[in-house]
Amino acid sequence: MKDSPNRLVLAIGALCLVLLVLGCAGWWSAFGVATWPLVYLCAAIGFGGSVARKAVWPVLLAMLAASIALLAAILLTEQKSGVPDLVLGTPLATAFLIYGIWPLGIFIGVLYFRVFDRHVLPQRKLDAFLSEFRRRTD
Amino acid sequence: MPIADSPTIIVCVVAYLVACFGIGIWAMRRTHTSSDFFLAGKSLGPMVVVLATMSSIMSGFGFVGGPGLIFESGSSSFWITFAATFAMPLGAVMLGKRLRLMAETRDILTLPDAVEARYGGRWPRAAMAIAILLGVLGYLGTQVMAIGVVLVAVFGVDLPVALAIGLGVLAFYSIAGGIMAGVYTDLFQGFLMIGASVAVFSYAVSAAGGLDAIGTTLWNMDPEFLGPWGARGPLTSLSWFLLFVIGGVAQPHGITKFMMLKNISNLKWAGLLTGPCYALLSLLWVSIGLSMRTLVENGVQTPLESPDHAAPVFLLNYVPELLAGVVFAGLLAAIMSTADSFLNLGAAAVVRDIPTALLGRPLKRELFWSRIATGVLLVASALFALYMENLIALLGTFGWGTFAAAIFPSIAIGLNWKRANGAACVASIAISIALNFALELSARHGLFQLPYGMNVGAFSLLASLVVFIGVSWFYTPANPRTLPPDVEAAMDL
Repeated sequence: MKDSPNRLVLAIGALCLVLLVLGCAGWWSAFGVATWPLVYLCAAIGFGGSVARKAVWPVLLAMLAASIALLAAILLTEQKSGVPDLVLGTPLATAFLIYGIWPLGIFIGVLYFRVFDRHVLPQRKLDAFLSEFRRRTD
Repeated sequence: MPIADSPTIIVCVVAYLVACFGIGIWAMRRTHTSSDFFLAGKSLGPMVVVLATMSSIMSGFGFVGGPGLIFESGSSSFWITFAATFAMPLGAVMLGKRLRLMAETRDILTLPDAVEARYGGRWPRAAMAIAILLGVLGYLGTQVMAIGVVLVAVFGVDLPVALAIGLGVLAFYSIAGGIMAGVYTDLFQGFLMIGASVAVFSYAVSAAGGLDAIGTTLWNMDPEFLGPWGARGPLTSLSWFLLFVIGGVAQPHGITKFMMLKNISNLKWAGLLTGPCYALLSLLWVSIGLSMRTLVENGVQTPLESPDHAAPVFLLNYVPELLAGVVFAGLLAAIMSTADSFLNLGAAAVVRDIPTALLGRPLKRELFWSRIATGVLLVASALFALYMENLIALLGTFGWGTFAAAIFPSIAIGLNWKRANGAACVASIAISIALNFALELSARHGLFQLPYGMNVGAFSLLASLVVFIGVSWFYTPANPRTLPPDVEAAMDL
């Protein structure tokens, strides 16, 4: 797994190409689905580090699955006529967007907060970095 | 724009302007070096960074254009504002630690500084500085114009007088206190904006008869309007989402705030709180737009001259005067907090980044020239706004997409991937500027438009990423650069 940034970045590049094709071809539902892996691949490359990977990647995978499931729910429940089932004032499909997708992003921040001290920037690693590289002028 | 003609609203706005002035004086006494001017001396606590990031990202577009966009195209606009809950924590995850660590070991005050540390050579720095300057000019022009329009509505004066009042205050605190004044006015502005947003939400829902009444009215008007994609259709909505999630990571007025934190360990708070805080601000964006459309459809409100009038007309007619005054102050705060960040970025590009790329060093007496450059940029953008409205409109549209496409690959990917190289950085920035300009111009003149409503910024971002990754992967420079040990360690940590 030493070259995982290379693999992640290649996957991001390939996904961008796919998204360009899907967007220009007008295949919007596939475009929507393919957007989610791009978001979570970016998060994965940001978390980096082999220790963080073990702790973080399963959560990111679960969030990816939840995001795709919510998008699928939107697609499956979209209504274009008739009398809609309103959920807090919005049709069901829009409710999946407002009450499902909107808050989901906050969990990336919660995850970052939870793993920060242990995996993202442990104090001993920070101290070692600063003692080696901090500017002499400070 | 309707005229407020209310002493209460005028008092609230004047009190806000006086408070900004006071913060400017306070910050001026604490600004002694260019590091203070551009990075607030790396002395900020977590809440200041959270609220300053949020305030500078929520511009006049969010508080005026956002409700207008909802009014005009319904749920399509949700995909823009909801993207921020992903983009803001993602920015902390991808960039926060690396940028802040690099700022600890080097004299890094700006993003082009970080680009030079990462890639070496002058071209990557120059390309990044030019991209930032172009984006800043466009954004700044639109913010300046928005300040004038809001103050015309509040004071009922002519546009040049309104510009003189608003820009006078902005110029004072931005020139005197630099980003130090900017972030502390942002802190004050952030609290004001959140309070205003939450309060207005309840008025907006009740004015239109409750959530179910809003839903039923808008569904009967047009089911697509309240459907998941809104009136703009699915591909536009989804490509907006992509642009605002991924591109939101790379907005320079947001991410430079990470470098200002005093204690690196407090980055976790920035990751945790910026998204929810922005979500609270979105309540105003969403609720006013939907409520006003419902009121118009039900015949309670006469049709609006322009969708952008949704927010001011609602505030003047459907909320108590005192709250309207606070929200008008919040509206001005949203615009000015973005404008001060851009002034600072633009001054850094002119005084530090472009001279360093050309001469190998920043201008002497950097702090003095930064203050001069801030003033000149403000005057220039006011003149642009008054006399070159078409150019401003183009550059304003171009701003977010250019920042996204030019900055995301080189900074967000490049600081996490050692194989990335300077040639890829320059190529992706060049492609992003060329595509954004060419596609926006050709769409405006009816020459060519991307099919199916695909957003220009999203297209340019994807193309720029492909170029960046492709060039880094397939092109190996004749003399490959070895990463400096501190940069490599910051990327490994």
